[in-house]
Amino acid sequence: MKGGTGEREKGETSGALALRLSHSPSLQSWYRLRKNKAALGGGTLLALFLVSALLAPYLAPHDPLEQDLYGRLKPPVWDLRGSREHLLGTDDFGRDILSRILYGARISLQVGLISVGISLGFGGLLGILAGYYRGVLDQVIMRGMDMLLAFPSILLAILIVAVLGPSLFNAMIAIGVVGIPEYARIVRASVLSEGSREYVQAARSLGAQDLRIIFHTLLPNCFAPILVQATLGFATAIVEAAGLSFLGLGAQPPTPEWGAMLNQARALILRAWWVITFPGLAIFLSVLGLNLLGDGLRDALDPRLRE
Amino acid sequence: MVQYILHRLLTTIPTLLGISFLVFLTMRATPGDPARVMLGERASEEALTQLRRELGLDRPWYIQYGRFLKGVLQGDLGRSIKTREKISVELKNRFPATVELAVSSMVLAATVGILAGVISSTRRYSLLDYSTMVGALAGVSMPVFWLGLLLILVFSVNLGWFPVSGRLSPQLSLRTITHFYLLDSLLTWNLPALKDALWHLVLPAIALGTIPMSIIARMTRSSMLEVLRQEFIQTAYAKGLPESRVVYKHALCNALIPIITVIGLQLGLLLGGAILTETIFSWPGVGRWLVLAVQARDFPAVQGGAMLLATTFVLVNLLVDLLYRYVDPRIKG
Repeated sequence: MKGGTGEREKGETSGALALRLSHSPSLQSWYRLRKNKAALGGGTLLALFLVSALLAPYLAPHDPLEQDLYGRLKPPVWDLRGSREHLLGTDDFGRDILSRILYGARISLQVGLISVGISLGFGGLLGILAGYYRGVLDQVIMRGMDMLLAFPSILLAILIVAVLGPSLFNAMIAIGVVGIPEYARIVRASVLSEGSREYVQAARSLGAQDLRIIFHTLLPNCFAPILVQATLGFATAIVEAAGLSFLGLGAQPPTPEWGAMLNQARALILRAWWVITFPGLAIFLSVLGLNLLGDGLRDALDPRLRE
Repeated sequence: MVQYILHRLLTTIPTLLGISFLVFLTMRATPGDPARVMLGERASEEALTQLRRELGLDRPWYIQYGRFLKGVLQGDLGRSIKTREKISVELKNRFPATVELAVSSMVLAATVGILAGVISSTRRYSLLDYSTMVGALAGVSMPVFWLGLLLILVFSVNLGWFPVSGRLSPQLSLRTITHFYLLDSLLTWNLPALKDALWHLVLPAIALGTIPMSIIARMTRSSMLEVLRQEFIQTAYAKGLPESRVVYKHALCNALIPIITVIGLQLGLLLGGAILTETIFSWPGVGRWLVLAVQARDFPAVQGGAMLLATTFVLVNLLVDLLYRYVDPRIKG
């Protein structure tokens, strides 16, 4: 970090200075995060994604499923043949691409929340059990996790979808299950490293029960690595779900899911570039935003990890 | 070292057994009757009974698993429900295509990635450094399947530089020996086929190689920056050595260990990415075959393809781990 803590940097308000000098670790992390331009850019992209997802019904100019067979494959507005009616053009059923992308953000938000929820819930629980009780239980759980990690993740997801049958919901489950080992390892490592600290021993000697130690004492202190992993995992979940839908194993037509849109657009590659470009751009920007924010969070929460 | 290799080989066995069991479960865990799922709702009772007997579905699960495992060890993975072909034969013809694609992507990713990382680290905070790192950042977030489509759109459809799909133009013939087309065309000295096969390989290799390339570039940059700060580099400069020698010999050699680790990790992941890339470019490899099998609910074929890819993944990771120890003797098991 440049400059001493005493000197006030140019343009810094007294509030920001107080924040920077504050002893609260979370405030300090917040300050580091705000100074990180890449993370700020990522946060902006994420905000855009969230706004699209949450306000899709108000923002979208058309119904995402509404077909207009006379207005098929209209190019975007800046093309001579385009119209202001459809800013990003229409697909081969005459559906408005912008509206479909906005609604697609809703689906991707759902995918991220549910998949990360499954990974975090089960992975966290297994990690706690392994790290807190150790011994045979630890061995059994972690060898099981190694087994799952022995598959390339998309292959494991494909296998799970093969068993459950192709659908968006099953794809979310598959991606959630695939993510479990990663969270189990992180939570276990945090529990192991925090578990031997004095404050945990203090809680134990005060007669706290296992559950109380785990949920009140240990977990809040494992928050940082979990938050980072969840942010990056959200991005992975979006890409993997889009990938499965692209392969026809996730969301099915006419769902406005980004990967499924790309899958349907493949046949149009010779005729309509916009049908392929915009849904992919939406995936790319959301994932980029989450990755930037995740990297920024990692640097802010644990300055030792900074490259 | 020998002891370590033996230890690692032995610990790989339970992993492979676990994989085989999980893959075996895919058919057993299907809700409902797997035979009916595969043959469809309108299948006759005789056909169902025959398929159940053929797949051993009428036996207890441990006998089924035993049979499956025995088959895997003997290289007999049964027949595809859809094509009635032997799965092992289908895989044997397709696996080289996947390997050729994965290896080419990795060669591309490692060459460009390391070069970009080195240049970035020696011109720190220059425009070149910033643009390389922004490019790498974008590359990491790029969905493989979208990048593949964009490459086809720009370089095949609009510019017409590269073919859209496949491994070899239909008008060309190539005598296959190894099923690695680059190698086969060299062995039979078929230069038109070599050029054509290379041409077909360019876009899929770029699509599949972009993510590892970006990760390698970022890792090379940070590892190089770490090394360039050290005293022996200043000594080398002080001795009057030319910059290129200091950077590429003294610094890069010392920065290589974490880069090799990353390359190894990515090599395994390429197999996963290959599933998507092969589908986009109609590349006749194991990945595309597996996806088609899943869509057709052809479970024996799914099992065979998954078993092959997962085993390769484990073995590649094992190999990388051993190589890593060989390259850096400081690491002891």
